[in-house]
Amino acid sequence: MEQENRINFSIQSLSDDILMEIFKFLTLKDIAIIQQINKEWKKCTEKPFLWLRIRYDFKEHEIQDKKLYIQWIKEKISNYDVEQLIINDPNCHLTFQDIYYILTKNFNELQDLELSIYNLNESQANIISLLIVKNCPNLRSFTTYGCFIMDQFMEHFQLLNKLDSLSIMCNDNSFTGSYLRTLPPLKKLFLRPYLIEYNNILEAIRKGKNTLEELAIDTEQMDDDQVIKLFNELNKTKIQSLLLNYCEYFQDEVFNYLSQFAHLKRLKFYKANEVTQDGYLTCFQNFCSTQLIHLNLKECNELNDEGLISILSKSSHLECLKLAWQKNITSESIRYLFSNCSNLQTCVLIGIKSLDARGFPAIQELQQYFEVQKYGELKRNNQYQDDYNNDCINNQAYTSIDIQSYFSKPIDRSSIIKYYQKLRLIDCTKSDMVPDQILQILHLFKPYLVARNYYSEQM
Amino acid sequence: MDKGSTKVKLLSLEGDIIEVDEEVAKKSQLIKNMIEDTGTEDDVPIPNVKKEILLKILEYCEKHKNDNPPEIEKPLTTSNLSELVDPYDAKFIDIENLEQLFEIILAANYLDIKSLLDLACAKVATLIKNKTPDEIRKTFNIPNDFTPEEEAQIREENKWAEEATS
Repeated sequence: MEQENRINFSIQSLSDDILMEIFKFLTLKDIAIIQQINKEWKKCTEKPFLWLRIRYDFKEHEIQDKKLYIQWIKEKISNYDVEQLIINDPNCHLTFQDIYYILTKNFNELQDLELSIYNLNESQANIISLLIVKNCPNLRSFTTYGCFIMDQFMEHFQLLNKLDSLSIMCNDNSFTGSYLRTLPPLKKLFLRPYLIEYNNILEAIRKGKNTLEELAIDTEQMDDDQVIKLFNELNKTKIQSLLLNYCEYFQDEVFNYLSQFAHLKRLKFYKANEVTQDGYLTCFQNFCSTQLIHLNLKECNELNDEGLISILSKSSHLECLKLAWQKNITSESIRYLFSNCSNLQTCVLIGIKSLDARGFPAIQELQQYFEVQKYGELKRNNQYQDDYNNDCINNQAYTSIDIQSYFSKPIDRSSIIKYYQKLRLIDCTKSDMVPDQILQILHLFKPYLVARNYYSEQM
Repeated sequence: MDKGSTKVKLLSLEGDIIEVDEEVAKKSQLIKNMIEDTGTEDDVPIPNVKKEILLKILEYCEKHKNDNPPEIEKPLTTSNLSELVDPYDAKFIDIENLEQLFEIILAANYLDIKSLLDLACAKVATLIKNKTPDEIRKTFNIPNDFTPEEEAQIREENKWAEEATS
């Protein structure tokens, strides 16, 4: 064996699965570069699996010659069988002709299409719609954040007989939903358009009665009766996600309907100001689902400790809780949260004015200890020094102490791990009474944790 | 404490036995499944992995026995890994010897330790990212086998990407 051949690494010798794991971290620009390395690498970049998912996004790169980039990506798309195509062009670099060119190809394999474009006029949008229907016969999911969607755009979508997921996420368009009822039964329906008509939503939901699993709508323009009628059309054992925005006019009675959904995993209920303390309590006491993973109750002002504890006691799988501006939520229910929901990963507690150190089991007990020692003296190694320099007022000399040995006697480390085992993000923006120290101690034990304090600063 | 930590005996490629805590070994989905099938009494054969690599990997497992690192952002926004992952992990995977880095990738894949596989693959990606083709060739010690004509043509095709790098 010759010395210089000692590195027997060959990217070709890695399996496609592993290559994919590496390429996933690269942008299209990086891939354009590695095509130029040698024949072997070029061959790797031509493996079809690499192009199954194409995300065309100008934000990712600072491309100088945009024309060449567009040309390049058009070629790639036309050369490979793409399963997922995301076109996100907020700055309108793509012309109608570009989009036309991209979609003029038989996309037999395409299942998932996102078309977030912004500069089409009505007749151009119609042509694009026809192209999609003609060339993407197996499309299952269509998503757009773009504002070109009008009713006619959907007219022919009824021919896409595999379509089961539709997300129209821009509210600034003339879409009223008149063709929604012609679509095949959907599994997922996310709608934001402002002009959408109630009856059209109702019809689409009716049609999807036995299939619909995820629903997101703005309820701003609906009255209580309409919402109840809509809830009645949903299959109570099928629905997993219910994301309701602008629930300002909901009364207790409407809210109580939520308790009937037996398999709810994600619930968003935003701005339900009219629901009373009793309304939350009654609903959560009767709540059927024990599978909640995401719970978003931002600006549901009247929610109190009793109501929150009631729902948390049934939600041991909870991974994400978002609260904002509840006056009557105190440390009691937040302590309950950390003690009972061991899967919690994301915790947003914005403007919870009555939350203080007592909400944080195991950490609260540590806090006193830190006060005695002046928390600035505590650090594991140099990389934390800057943080503490900034935060410590009396600017004294720091001693480097390994946190584990430091705590070995008085602190039971495992209790912190027990309570906050999976926590990744905690946001206490505008929650006045949560001391920075609490978040800093948490961060010492959980270096991955993103913790935001009152000023939304990261610890 | 003493009662809780059952030991597992791992048998490396060379036939050496490495004894580790069960909870550490179980970071490997493969070992976890094997233990669940056959218990901790028998040696667990890991015939594809050298002792040296296995020890290095167990070091990672020990560090992460109580947590699961978050997923690394895709695509990478910087080629400095320490801005994206825990400083310990960034240091752990900062391996000069590429051969060893690839052995870790293969072993992490075989042992089914997702977070380590991700970390090591991200490391390889940082060696590629924001570099010119020449720099990458140098890093991986790869000869350029294109004819000048081929090279000029490929370069022309991918010009948009190169301009932004230089």
